[in-house]
Amino acid sequence: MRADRIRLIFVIVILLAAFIGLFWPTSGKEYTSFFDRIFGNIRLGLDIKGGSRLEYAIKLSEDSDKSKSEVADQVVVVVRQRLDSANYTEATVQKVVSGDDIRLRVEIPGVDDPSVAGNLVGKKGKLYFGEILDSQESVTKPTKELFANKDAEWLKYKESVNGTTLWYLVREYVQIGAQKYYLDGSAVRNASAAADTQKGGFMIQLTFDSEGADAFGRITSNFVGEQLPIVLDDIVLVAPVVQVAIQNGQAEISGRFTAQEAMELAALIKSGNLPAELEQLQERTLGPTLGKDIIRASLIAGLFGLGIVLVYMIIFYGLFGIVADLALLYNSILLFGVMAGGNFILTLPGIAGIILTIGTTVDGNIIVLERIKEEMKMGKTPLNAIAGGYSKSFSTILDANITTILAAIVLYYLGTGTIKGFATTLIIGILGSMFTTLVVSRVLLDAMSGSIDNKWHKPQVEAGDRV
Amino acid sequence: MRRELDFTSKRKMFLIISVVLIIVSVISMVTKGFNFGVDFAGGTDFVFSSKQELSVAELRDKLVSADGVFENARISKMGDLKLEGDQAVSSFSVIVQGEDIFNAAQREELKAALPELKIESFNTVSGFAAEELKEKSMWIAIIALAIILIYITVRFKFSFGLGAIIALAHDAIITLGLYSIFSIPFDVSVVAAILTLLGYSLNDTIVVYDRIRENMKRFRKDSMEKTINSSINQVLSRTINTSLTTFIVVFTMLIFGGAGLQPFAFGMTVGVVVGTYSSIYIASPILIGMFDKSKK
Repeated sequence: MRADRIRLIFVIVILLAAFIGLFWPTSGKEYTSFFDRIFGNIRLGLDIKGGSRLEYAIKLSEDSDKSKSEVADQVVVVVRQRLDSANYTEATVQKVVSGDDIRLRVEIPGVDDPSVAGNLVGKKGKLYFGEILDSQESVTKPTKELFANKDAEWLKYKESVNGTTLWYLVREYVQIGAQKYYLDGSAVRNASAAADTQKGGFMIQLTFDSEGADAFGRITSNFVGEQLPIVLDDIVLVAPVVQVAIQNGQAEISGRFTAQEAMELAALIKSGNLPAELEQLQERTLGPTLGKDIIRASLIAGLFGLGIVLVYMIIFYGLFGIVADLALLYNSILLFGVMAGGNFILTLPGIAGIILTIGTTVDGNIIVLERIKEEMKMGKTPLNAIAGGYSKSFSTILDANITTILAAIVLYYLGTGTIKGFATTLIIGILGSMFTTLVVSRVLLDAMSGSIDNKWHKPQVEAGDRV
Repeated sequence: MRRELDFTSKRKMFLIISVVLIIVSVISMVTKGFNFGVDFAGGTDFVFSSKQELSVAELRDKLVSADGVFENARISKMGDLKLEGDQAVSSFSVIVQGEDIFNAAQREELKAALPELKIESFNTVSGFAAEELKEKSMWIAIIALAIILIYITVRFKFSFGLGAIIALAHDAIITLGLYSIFSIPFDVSVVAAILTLLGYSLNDTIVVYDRIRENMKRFRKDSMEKTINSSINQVLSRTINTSLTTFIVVFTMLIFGGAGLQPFAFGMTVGVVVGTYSSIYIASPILIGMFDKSKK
C-alpha cells in the first residue's frame, strides 16, 4: 500500500499549493465580490480587462543609414523580445503611422504595471564588459582630463556608497597587450535571473556564445585580482574583482537585485540593443477590447458547458463519472492556481488552452474508465480491474499527451507574444491533466473500489468474443 | 457477440469526400482569401472624444449609424486624458479594419455626421500579430510536425507518424477553408483555436493508433483492415464521449458567446467535428493502404 500513500500525499500537497497560488493575497487588494476573490489573483489580458497604452517617438541616431521604417521594424522585434522574456507575452507592440512619422505603441495588460513595462521598453539595453582606468568618490561627475584617456568615460556605480556616488573611469573595451577586446551584449547567448545564495537577493546568470566565451576567458585570465566592470546603459552594475580565470563562458552579475530587477535586466541583456532611442509621448489607460457583455456571456457559456459535461459524465459512468468530475475540478483549480502563482496573464487564446485541458482531462479519465470496464467484464475484482485498467491505459495517455506537449514546446520556444502565452497555458494544462488522470483519479478510484458493483461482468461470455 | 460497425470498407468514399473538401478549401483560400482582423491586417486608428458620458456600446451604435465599417471595429475606452480646460471627457480608441479607407473628404463627412464627437487623432496602425507570426509560423509548423513524426515513429511506426500528420494537415486545411468560405473574421484567437483543434485531433488519433498497436501484437493473423476496424470499434465509446463533451463546451460558447467570441468558438466547434471525423475515417483507414503496399 506504499504507492497508495505516496500518491495520496502528492495529491494533497499539490492541491494545497494550488490553493495558495489562487488565494494568497498579493498586493493587499480589496476583494469586492466572490468572483473577485476567486479570480482576483489571476491577471487578465487586454481583451478581457484592458490595460495601459504607451506611445513612444522613435529617435534615429544621426549616423544611421537605415530608413525610419526599417528601424521601426527592428525596434518592434527587440521590444517584443524584451516583453516576452519578462513574461509579458500578452502585451502588444504596434507601429503607428501618421504622415511621415512612425511611432511605437505598446499596450500592457493591467494598469499596475506601466512603470515596469516602461523600464523594459524605453531602456537602450547596451551591455558591455569594460576596463576600469580610475575611480573616485564624488557627488558630481568628475571631469575628465583633457587629452588623456580620450575613449574612456566617467560612469556612475549603481549603488551609492556612504552617501556619495562612486564613479569609475571606464573604457568600452579591454586592452591586453596591443589587442583590444570588445565584449558586449551581442556575445551573450542567454541571460536569466537566479537566486543568489551567497550574497542574498537575486543575480543574473550570463552564458556567452563560443566567441564570447573565448574573449571572456582571455580577459579574466589577464585580470586576476583586478576589477572587471559590467556596464548597462552607462551605469556600472557591478565591478567584481576577478578571482580566477573563467574559461567555461559563464558569468554572474551578483548585484543583490530584487527578483523583479533581475528579471528585467536579464530580459534587457538577452534581447540586445535597441537600434534607436525611444522617447515616451503618452500613457493612457485602456478599457477591455472584448467588452463586458461578451466576457459575461462567454463566462456563462463556459460554466454552462462545463456543468453539462459534469452531469453527462455522471449519467454515463455513474460512480466513475463522479471520479472524472472531481478530477476535472481538481485540474481546474491546479491550472488557475499555477496561472495565479506564476503571474501568467489570461486572455481569450489562453481560454482555448483551458478548454483543450478540460477535453484532455475528461478524455484521460474516459480512457481509463473504459479500460477498467473492459477488465471488469473479464471478471476481475474492482481493485484488480483498476490496477489492470491503469497499466493498460498508461501508454495511451502518455503518447497522446506527450505528442501535444512536444508541439506546445516548439510553439513556446519559437512563438512570440500571445502564441507563447497560449503554449504556456497548454503545457501547464496538459501536465496537470496527466497528473490528475494518472494520480488523482487513481487515489479516488482505489478509495471507492469497495463500493463498486461489478455490473459489467456477465459470466456467460460467448465463445469467440474478444473483449 | 456485439456487432462491429464497419468504418473501413467505405474508406475510399470518405477519402474522396475529404479530398473534395480540401480542394474546395484551397481554392477558397487562394481566390477569396481570409477576412483578416485588425490583429493581422492592421487598420485605421481613431481617437474619438465626447463631452457626454458614453458607453462603448453607445459609441458603436453612433458610429455604425454614420458608417457601416464600424460594425466590427475594435473599440476600447481610454482614461487619464489630460485636456486643456476642465470639462469631463470620455475618449475612445477605435480601430477599423483596412488602411486608407478614409480620405480627407470622407473624414469631413464623418465629422459632419457625428457632430457630438470630436476626432482627436487619425492614424494608421500595423497589425501586431502579423509581425509576431509572419516570419516564424512556417518554421514552427515544420519543426513541430517533424518532432511529432519522429516521436510517433519511435513509439509506433513511420507509417503511423505519416498518417497522423496527414490527418493534421487535413484538419488544418479544412478548418482554414471554412474560415475563408464563410468570411469569418480571422484574428489571433483563431490561431489559438486552430492550434487547439490540432492538439485535440492529434490526441484523438493517437488513442486509436494505440489500440491498433496493441491489437496488431495480439491478433497477428488478422488482416490490417480487420484489426483497424475492430480497434476503432473498441475505442468508439471513448471517442464519442470525449468528442461530445468537448463539443458541448465549445458549442455553448458559439451559441451564447456573442459576436466577439464567434470567430474563436467557430473554429473550436468545427475543429472538434473535423478532428473526430479525421481520426476515425482518415488517420486510421489510411494506414491500411500504407501497410498493404509495404507487404507487397
